[in-house]
Amino acid sequence: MHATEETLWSLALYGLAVLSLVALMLGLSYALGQQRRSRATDEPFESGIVSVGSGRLRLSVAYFVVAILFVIFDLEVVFLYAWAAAFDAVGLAGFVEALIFILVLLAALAYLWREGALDWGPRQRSLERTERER
Amino acid sequence: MILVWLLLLPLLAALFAPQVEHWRADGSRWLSLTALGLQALLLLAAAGGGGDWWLESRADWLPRLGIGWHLGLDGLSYLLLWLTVALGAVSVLISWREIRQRVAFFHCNLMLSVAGIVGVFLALDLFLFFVFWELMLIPMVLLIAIWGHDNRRYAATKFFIFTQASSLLMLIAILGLAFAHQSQTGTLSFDRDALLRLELAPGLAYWLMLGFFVAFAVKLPMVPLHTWLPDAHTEAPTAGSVLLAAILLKTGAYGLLRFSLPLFPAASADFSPVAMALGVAGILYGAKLAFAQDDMKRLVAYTSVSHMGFVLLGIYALNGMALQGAVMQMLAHGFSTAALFIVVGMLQERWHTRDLRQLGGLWTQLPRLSGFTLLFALASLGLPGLANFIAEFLILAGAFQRSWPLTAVAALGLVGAALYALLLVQRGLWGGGAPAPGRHDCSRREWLVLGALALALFWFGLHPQPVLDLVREPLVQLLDAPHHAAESPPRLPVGSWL
Amino acid sequence: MIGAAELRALLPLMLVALTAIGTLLLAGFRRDARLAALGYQGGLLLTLLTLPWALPEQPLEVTPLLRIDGFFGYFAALFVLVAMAVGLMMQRQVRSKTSGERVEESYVLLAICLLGALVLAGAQHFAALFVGLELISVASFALVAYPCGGRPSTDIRQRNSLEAGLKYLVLSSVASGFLLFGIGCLYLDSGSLAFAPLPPSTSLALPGLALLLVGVAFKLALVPFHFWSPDIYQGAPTPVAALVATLSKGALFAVMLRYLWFGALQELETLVPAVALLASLSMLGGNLLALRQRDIKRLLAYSSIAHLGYLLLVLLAIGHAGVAIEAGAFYVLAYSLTTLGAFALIGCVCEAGDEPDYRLEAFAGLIWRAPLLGASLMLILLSLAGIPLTVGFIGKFYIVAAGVDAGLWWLLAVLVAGSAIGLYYYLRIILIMLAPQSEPSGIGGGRWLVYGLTLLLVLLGVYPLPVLQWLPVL
Repeated sequence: MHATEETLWSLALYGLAVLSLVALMLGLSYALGQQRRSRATDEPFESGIVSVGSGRLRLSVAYFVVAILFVIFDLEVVFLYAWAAAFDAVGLAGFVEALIFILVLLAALAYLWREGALDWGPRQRSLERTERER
Repeated sequence: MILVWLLLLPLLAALFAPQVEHWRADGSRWLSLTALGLQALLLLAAAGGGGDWWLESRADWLPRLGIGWHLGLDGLSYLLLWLTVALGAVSVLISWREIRQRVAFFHCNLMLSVAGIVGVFLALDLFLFFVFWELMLIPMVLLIAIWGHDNRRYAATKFFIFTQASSLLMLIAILGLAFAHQSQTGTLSFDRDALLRLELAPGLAYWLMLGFFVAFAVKLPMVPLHTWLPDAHTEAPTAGSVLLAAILLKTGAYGLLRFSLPLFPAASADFSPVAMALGVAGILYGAKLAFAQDDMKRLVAYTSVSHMGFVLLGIYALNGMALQGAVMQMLAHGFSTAALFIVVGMLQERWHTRDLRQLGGLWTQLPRLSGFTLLFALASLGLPGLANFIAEFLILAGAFQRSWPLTAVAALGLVGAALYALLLVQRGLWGGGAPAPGRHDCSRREWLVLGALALALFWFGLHPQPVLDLVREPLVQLLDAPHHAAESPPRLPVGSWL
Repeated sequence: MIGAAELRALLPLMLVALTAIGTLLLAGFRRDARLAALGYQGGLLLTLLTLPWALPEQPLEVTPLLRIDGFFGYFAALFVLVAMAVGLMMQRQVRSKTSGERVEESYVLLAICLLGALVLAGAQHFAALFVGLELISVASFALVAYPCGGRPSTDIRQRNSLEAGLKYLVLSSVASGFLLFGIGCLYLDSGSLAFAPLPPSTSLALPGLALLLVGVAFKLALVPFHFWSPDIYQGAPTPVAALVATLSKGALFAVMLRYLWFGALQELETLVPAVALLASLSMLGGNLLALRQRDIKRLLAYSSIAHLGYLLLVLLAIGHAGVAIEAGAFYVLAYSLTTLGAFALIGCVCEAGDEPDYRLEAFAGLIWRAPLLGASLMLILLSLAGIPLTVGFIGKFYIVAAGVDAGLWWLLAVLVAGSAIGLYYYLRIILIMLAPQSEPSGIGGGRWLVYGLTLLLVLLGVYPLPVLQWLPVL
């Protein structure tokens, strides 16, 4: 029972410390920082130039697709690395499991390719082909 | 098998009503009448069995949970089934011209409701009873909600919520009993016979009894829980009011007699002073409010509260005479109130108002209809020679042995009854109202219905012995329940007084 | 180690996973909504048919994560059926809106949801719980925001569903955070992630369980963690709303049932007041909030909050009442069946026109316009209200039975009060439906699904024995 309270206290203390640290950081920057309110305070900082137009630019969706593809295949490597490191220990079963994993990824890759996610640029050739077939 | 057919006939009639209407415009009406007629024949065939149950029907339903299909017919249910069939037919007859829209669907609902009521009067398995108990309500709600008067949605909703919420309490009590059975014998059971043998702890029994009592008291209706009734009655179409007043209210009293009293004899005996007091309060309160109404239909609705207060008083007086009186009152109230509702419906059909302030002087214009009105109003106040008198006399005589002060107060209700009944007659029939020439008096169909009801009231008022004989056996059993011996008050031999 | 027996037991999971991948490839190589639907339904049907064969005689532990037994079998069958029904609803939705949108992927996501639900049904380990839950959640985010026929960003319906998807994503992640925190605490305490009784010296068990409870309450949308659910129901495409209402909640409930049953019974004792409070608040709050709704989907969202509140009664009864697990299992079935019926009907009636109309008034005069559909709606609502001869009544009967057996009198009183309030708005819809017809409006496709579900709902309400016998006997 004693142990319980002790742990709880330390947990509470920890939480309190985190909160106070955050409060301190925010509070200090508020207290010490310059407080100036002028017309340009809320403007985004653009090297001294008055900003023009909306901040919402249209980016090519390809950037996101490539980023996500990168993340996916990067993560895949994490799993495969773990498997490779323990190759001897997991044996045939592990091999089959890794195979299934790779095959599923392959299926997803095939889908993405057909969807045109791998095409770069505004013209998505694989899509157009599908449209034509239709 | 007869019992199953009793249930199936109205169900089939409900099922085929829309089809039949394709062939013939008023086919569904005749179909309903046929089904009710066949039911009557079946009842004739079922008459006069011996033993505890004249007829029984058993089958497995959900054996895993100890739920079975168990129907049984005895004198009490036999009597109420006759009431159901008779007034079901009356409902069909009087809606002949009142209901012009969606006729097939109307009869579908009417017959479904009748089927549910028949099931309630027959079921001996508590689960089955609960199923029928809920089933009879839904079509009734639809009857009010579709064919009712102006404020029908409000009335239907109120009716639905009151009855459903109270029946959930009953469901909890039923399950409490079933699990008590499990803890005592190891198996779940919802069968009345099995549950009768339970030895319940007094505290538990009292709470479970209250669960049942609330559900039945709402239906009865008992006074603080009665507020749905005036609305539902007022807004329902005439056939709906008849069905509600004549039969549906009786299911509450029947439930008390069939389940609440036998299952919890000791707890009921403990509770009886409270119940009797509530019954008396209902008698006086109903009479008082009936007296104050301008709306004829609402007036009749409040007389129901008053009359059913007598039933509650009679049931919880817990002796043979009062119980017989209570059953008799169920019957008499069924006929007399239904008749009054029909009369009001007919007046409304002719004058398009039920407001007593606008009516008056009907006697000169509609002598026949007014004669019937007078007769039924007199029945309602308990004129000797009519069934209500026998009932009220028996109840008061029985209750007197139990508690004379309460009985004395209840007797005041008779004065109230005289007041409201005579006021109804005076304001509606005498005096000079707006002259409205060209209204036709009773048609042959209407004459037939009202005449039959009047005949029934006279018959049971002058010769009640068959009814009393019919219910003697079930009531004796009720009072002879083994647990009763200690608590039950001294009683007269049942039915020996006539 | 995984042998032939284990593989056989895992067959349902593998088949569903194969269905997901197969449908994905189908979608990639041939754009044909009907073909994708066929692949999806065929895969699920195969799963369902092989399920009895795949189930082992004795409960079988497949790795420490999963336990394949009768409990798994029951819920797996239920979830597969639910997923098939949702698939059918999706198909109808697609057919009626021919805007050239891609819908094939929705089946892939549905299959992934189902896979998560199956994992949850068999989980006996917190890792499996979390994996299953996230499978469902991640697929649901996409499904909730799915453009079911609408053109992106121009269609108002589409905007709603995007907003709903984002909301669901954020709130569900928060809930997952709570859940993980709770699981972490429990792990620290006991040193094991398996569903097992905790060791007696517990310092972190209580906070762990409490956090777990908060996470679960978020996902089940219990009051006071319910705010997201009406918006999601309203914004998501109707089939997906049905999915979120039935599959996600049912699967999470199943796994909680198993967790409490296997492990944390005595720990629950300390949490009883909290769970009881959640249950009462949900029963009352859900029903009260539903009273004022004018949108049928929001109304159903609140009503489902109340229904989950009824279900919590089972969790409380689990230690005391023999029927509790059975009751929970049956209620999930009853609730899923009824809710699916309701959403199928919404899809059929409210989305018939060009613009969907989810006001309650959309049902005005339904019973005269389309008598069979009207009767179905009535039965569905009565089932939600728990009136006899519908499956909802048997479910409620079971819940009350569990409550009575465990002596939870106060909660039963709350249940009665909540149900009484609930009757009001169910009846209100019925009354609207009975009103004289206002304006003639069409009826969409998909009515056969409604009829089928309604028939099942009545059949199981009259004669539930086939299911009762199959319920996990414990």
